[in-house]
Amino acid sequence: MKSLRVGLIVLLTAVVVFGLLGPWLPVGSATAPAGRPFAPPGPGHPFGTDFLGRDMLARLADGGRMMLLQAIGATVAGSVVGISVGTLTGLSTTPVTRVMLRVVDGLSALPPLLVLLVLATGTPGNEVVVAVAIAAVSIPFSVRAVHAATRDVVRQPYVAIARARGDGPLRIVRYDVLPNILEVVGAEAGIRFIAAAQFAATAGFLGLGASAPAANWGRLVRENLPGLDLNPAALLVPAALLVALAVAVTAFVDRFAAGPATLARVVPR
Amino acid sequence: MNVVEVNGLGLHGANRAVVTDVSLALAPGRILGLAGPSGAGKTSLAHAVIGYLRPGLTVATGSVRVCGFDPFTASGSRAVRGSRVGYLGQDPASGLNPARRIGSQLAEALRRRPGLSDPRATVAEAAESVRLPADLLRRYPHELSGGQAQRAALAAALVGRPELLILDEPTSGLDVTLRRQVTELLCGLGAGTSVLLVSHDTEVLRHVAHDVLRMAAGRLVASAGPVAVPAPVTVPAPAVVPAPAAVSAPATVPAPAVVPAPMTVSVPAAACGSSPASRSDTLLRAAGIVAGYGRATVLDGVDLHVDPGQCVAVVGDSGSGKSTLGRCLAGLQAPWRGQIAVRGRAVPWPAGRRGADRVAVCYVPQDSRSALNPREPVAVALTRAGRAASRAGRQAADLATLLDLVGLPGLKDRYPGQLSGGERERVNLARALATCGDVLICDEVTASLDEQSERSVLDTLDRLRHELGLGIVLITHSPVVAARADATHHLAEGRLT
Amino acid sequence: MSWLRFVAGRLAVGALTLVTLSLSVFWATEGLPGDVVGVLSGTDATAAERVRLRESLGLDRPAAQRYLDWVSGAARGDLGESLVTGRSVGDVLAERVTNSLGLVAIAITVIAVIAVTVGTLSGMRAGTRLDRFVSTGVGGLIALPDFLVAALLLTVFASVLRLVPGVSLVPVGDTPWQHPQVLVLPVVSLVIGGLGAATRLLRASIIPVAAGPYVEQARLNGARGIGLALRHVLPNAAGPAVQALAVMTAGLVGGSIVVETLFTFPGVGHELSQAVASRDVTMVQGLALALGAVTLVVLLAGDLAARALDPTTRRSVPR
Repeated sequence: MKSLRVGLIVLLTAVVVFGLLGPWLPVGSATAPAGRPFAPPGPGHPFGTDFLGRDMLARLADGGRMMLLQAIGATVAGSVVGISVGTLTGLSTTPVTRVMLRVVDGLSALPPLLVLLVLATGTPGNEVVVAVAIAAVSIPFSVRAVHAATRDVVRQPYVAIARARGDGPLRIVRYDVLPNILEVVGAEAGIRFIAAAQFAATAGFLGLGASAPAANWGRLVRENLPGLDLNPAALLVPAALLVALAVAVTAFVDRFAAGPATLARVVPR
Repeated sequence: MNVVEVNGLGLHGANRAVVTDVSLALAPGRILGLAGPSGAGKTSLAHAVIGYLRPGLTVATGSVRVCGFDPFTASGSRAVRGSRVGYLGQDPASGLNPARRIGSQLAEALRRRPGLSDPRATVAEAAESVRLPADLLRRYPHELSGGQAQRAALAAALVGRPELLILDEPTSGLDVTLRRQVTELLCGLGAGTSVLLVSHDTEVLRHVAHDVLRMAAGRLVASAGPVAVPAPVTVPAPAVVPAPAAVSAPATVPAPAVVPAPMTVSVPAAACGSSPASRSDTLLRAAGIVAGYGRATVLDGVDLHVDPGQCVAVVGDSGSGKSTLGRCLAGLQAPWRGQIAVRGRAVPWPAGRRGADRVAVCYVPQDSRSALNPREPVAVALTRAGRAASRAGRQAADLATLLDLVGLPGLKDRYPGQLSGGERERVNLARALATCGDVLICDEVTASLDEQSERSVLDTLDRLRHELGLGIVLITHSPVVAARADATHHLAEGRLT
Repeated sequence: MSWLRFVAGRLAVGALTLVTLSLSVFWATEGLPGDVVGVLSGTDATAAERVRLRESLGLDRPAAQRYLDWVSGAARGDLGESLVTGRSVGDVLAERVTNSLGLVAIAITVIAVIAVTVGTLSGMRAGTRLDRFVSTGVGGLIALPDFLVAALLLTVFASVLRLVPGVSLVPVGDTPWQHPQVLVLPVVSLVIGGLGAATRLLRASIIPVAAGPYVEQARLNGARGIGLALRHVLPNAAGPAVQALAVMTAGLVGGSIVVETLFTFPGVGHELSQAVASRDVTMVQGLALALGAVTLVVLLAGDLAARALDPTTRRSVPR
């Protein structure tokens, strides 16, 4: 089992590196037609061509970066907001914060794809908006997880004792809360990253974000679906990259975050 | 035929032996007590009798026979569990299924005893034998009081008229009244049932058990005869070396933890900057405290005062409001009514609003494990407390001095998880001292400690109040601990006498 | 807290959330840069034509007023008309909603059966090899994007094996229920996509119960296997388990958007993504609001069920 895990982590690194550095690889143009549509793999085109005759390898090289950046950016933004809001609301329990959290809860239960679609209608063709939308739909999960973990910590006598002797909220967050919620923070960031990568790919599939001729692995799946009989590689290779990313990221997250009990409570509300 | 026969049993865990070479025999109708400090392997042994092994444990050597069956085989355990043997774990009330009524849970326990006639009568009989009113059978577990739930769980274990009853710490955590009730019930069990009683409570064992076996570190260390209350452990002074303490016969008990007694440490005058006000001021005076939760009143007009160097004990049953009183005095909880004055000055109830006086009254909670941040080494915890004292205008004590005061030099880099129960309790004390309070409110600080640790903690408290003039409020349910105090008050029905 | 207060509280929060949702939907589609007029008039329109179009659509009124008009209309059931086809949004919704709800209902039933069984087995034996195997498998499933699962199913079963139709072509006027083979791939996609998360959620609701003191007590007194599960574990885990399934159902609503788009299944999700692609703002607003409201109702039902199934709220003696 252990060597399998290691193998998956190596796979993850390979996919991420390929995705992030791909556009700099010297593989030719991703937008100019280079042959007839759906040509099978051959000399000069290791993965054949796509539905417009463009080289698949070049499109694949271009198609990972934006997706990965969106996923990483959304995860980091979500963590920052989640930690700040989650710890501070966890410390105090005014009725206002309680209602606010309930509404945030309610909003968070809406299908994230819905939010993505709605936001994209307002600003078509904008990749940053997709990243912002992904961050927005994942912030509630982060806030909830950090908030629940903070409340677990705050319930402990050592926090009550620190408060009674006059330690302020920032001091308590720094010394008592943060060191004890690190596992939860890591685990929930990992889960959110998996979901964010999924969303970024799905956004590409649905045609949100930058429009043609931009490349995005999810978009490539959609575009090349009709050509299955002629050049299966055009569909299967981007699909395989996405599967590899999904499985490898999950193995990585599992390795470093075994799923703290707090998360188990948070997820089913 | 013996009901239980254990021969040379050895149980091994991840990297240590939990039970080593234990042999015992339990004859029908006898009550066997199993005593020993926590961690000695008593529960593991009790589990092994019905063939249950905690994850990670394996049977290394030996064998077990219960009513003639081998409980470690599938057929053996099926024949034995729930039918011939009844098991009641620690905190029996939490062993009741919240989703079913009491009566139906008792009836279900009978299902595995098909031979018994008339289930309804048997259930009624079992309820009567534990003095559980019949109308409670229709209730759900959460609708019963703590004591009633305890008795209901006992009834469920007895209803099938098992040949063997295994009880794991049935009186742990109970107050005096409940403990007495359970002890009486156990005494009146009748000759048909054999009992294996695991407990660290020597009083209960003395009243109930015919024979007592002592366990320590996985081995049996004494056997047969009624247990004698061990003579006081003599602590070697002034060395810090953990020499095994001398105990009265029959066997030598390996000393559990380091019990240093630095009686000769002199307290530097400026170590704990008690305020320059006159030493004869009453440290703490509270009057007319009325407090409760929701609609239930727990404290109904309580007055208390503590003079310098005085130790006041507050004794009461569980649920009588002792902790509530302690928390109110320390400012962790605000009562509905009442006044409090520290060194003659009236202060608000919430600690955060007491200004410089917020560190005057310090609370040392019962559960030392959760009172310390597990990710914070001892040194950081004490330093933070010291800084809080400085911010409140008091002089902070030196880290090394504090640790010496409570007898724990050299533990400053340890994390709470690496300390024993007694050591954690003393770190708690040191932290409370670090804020240089005038009054320490010690809430059941020795309840979960064994006798040696309890004695050393109480000795430390005595020394502190004599040398530093601290006032101490000792909240406890144990008369032995209360005997150390200058004055004892009883808290019952919300009033202090 | 009494039953009445609980329901009232949840309804109030739900209403507040719905209002916030309507604000967000409106703001996102009309307030941001990007113009409805640009869509309708095309790129060649002159400035004057755009101004005329704007006036005729009433888009020159202040945003707040437009929002109030829209919301009051929605409360009455009038969600406006499609900018592209002119059909009433309400009509489109009424036609499609039964298809989508039916799809989700079938999928959640299948998921519930499988997830409860596997989740209970795995939760009661937490930490064992079986449990770890299930967890890893589940983890892999969860990480796969929905559309990928659907696309792979499509390639294998429709294109390669030609067992079921890949595209849900239903003759105009007929419903998918009259051509059940059209339902197969969308349902299977939804099930596979949601099974992982559902099993994980259910396992997580079972584990605290199975590790609890009364289950251990029951085990030590001889309860085993199915008897243990049915009498001791499930009755106490039913509340959180049902709530987990409600959350899953809400999640399937989102998943159905992707699945319907891929298979061109005539449902609300498909209409929604088409409306987004053609920037049919009114349609997007109406459908998004409707889907959001359905999600909130499902979650409220889950909360109520969880509370009803919680054994510690039961009273043998009426108060």
